Amino acid sequence: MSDGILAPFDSVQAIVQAARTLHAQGYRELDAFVPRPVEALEELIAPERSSLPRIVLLGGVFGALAGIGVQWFCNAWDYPINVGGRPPFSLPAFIPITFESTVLFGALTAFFGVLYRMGLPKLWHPTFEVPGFERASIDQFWLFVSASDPQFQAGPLENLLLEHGALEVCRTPVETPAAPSGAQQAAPDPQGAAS
Amino acid sequence: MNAVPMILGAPDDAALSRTLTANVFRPMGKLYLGLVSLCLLGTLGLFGLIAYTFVMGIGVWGNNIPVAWGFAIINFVWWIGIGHAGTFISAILLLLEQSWRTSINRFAEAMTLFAVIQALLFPLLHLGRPWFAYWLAPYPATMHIWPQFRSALPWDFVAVTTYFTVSLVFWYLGLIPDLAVVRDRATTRGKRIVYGIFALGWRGSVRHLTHYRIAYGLLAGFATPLVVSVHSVVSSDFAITILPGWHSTLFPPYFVAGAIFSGFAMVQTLLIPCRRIFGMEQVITERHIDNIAKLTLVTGLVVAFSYGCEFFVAWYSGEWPELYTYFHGFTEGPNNAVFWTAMVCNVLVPQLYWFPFMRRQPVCCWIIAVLVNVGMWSERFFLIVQSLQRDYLVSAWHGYKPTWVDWGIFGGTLAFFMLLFLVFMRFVPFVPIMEVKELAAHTRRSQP
Repeated sequence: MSDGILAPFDSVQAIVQAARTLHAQGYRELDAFVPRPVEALEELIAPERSSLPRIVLLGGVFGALAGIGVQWFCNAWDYPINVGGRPPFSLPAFIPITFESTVLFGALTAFFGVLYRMGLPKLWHPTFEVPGFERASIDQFWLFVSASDPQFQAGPLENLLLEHGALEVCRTPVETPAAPSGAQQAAPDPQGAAS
Repeated sequence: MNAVPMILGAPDDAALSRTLTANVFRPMGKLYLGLVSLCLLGTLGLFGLIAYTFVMGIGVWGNNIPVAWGFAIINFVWWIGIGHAGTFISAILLLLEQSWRTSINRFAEAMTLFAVIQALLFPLLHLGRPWFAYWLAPYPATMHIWPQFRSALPWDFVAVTTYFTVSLVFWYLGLIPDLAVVRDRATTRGKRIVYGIFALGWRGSVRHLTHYRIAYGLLAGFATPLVVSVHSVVSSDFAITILPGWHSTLFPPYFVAGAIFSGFAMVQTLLIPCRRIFGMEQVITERHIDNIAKLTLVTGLVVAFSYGCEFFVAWYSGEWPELYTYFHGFTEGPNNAVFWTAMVCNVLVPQLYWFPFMRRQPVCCWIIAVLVNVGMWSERFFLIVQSLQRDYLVSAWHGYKPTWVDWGIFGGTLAFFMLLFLVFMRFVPFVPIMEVKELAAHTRRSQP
């Protein structure tokens, strides 16, 4: 989902309005690049619930089982030592580590899980080549319509976006003139932002 | 009532991006370089003294029988406690939707990480043979034995390493969008590449943000019980023994309250000068200082109440060793000045925060915060040393005197902590940009 049209807006109201119109017209393969969370856009563009909580639950349960399992194996099964007549599998004493390993595995699952869901790290992306895109993290709101959307028609779409207050309309991937930027083509700037 | 806002003026996104990344782009001043060199020198001293300890053995420290836990454990408990306020601010206040935490949360979390690094050094050194530290991990050893998980020592090992790991990923996840801002504002190619690598290619996609915000919330959820658990486990090291002064079921909440109390004091100690030096008064206002002061007061009252409980239970038990430890050992025994310092700094000094003008004067807050830091370190000292030096067996009584190596290593960790902090203040946007933008947008909407 990297071929399509990108359009910057300078206000939340404008981009939400544009996204609503596109959504009403049946566009579904939309994305937006924003400097701060905009809930209205999230509801329009990515309404489905994230699967992350379920994955993290699995990670946490695995951590709990691993924690108690290791302690049971070490102290009750493989090499039980009688400490003051206490049972080898003394659950109360095993609770702290079980809790900690639950948290550890849960948190690591959340961290690596979210990176996996976001497809990061991905240091270079075609959108980074769009001139001015660096302001998407600073103060501009960029709307993206994928060319793979069945509704996609470049001409009318560009007009529609401009009507809704887009500052300009850009195609991605950016067509690069052959000769002068050949060197840059060979080693794409990982940060994009082709100033 | 609360007239001071969380953000002064109505800065827009561009202005916030500019202000909040200013620390990364401005040239290093003489003051900064001077401080860094000083801290670097202290850090070198720290590693020198650590090498000295390794070569000579821990006999160069003051701890001996019966005071087997000297400075190493005092400093460990003190440093790890300081970390707790960072996690409290970043996780618990997030879940409670306290939006004032936004501007200071990254700062406090960094403090947590750096404090935990200092804390981790001490148990390692205290082992005496630190090259065997990996014996704490359950690995299939050729000796065919395993760690004893019914002891509090492996609990501590797991609790502290988990705490560090979770704090690190939580902090880094929050940092990703802001590193992208630095990347996009970067003036040189070198900066763009370095910050670009650490930003992992973040582009602020709304599809990413839905997952991102859930992950951030989940990590806050995980970090919340961790705040309570880490110092509870640390306190178990004490509470599961039968030593008078340690053997108490009150210890976990008492330690957690003390930890958060000392942590808030450390946040104040660092925040007040940094806010001035880096010109962040717009986003770190008097409201923040006031709120931290109030939380310091609350946790300080819990600590004072815990002291009261400890003394009451010692009296109520009617046990002579308990009575002796609390009513003679602490108050009149050797090193009793430390006990009284703790009482003054932790119980009396925070009461000044009842007066609103004290909470709004950054200078007063800073002095109180430093005193609380001293007080909490003294508390760790009297709990450990004064309980150990007066055991059941009178013939085993012995005093404790730290050596210059003890003081040197303690001072060295202070320098190392400050060094990490100074580096952080210079290279990382220390106020969360994305979250502050969201908060500012909210403020702009509510007061047009």
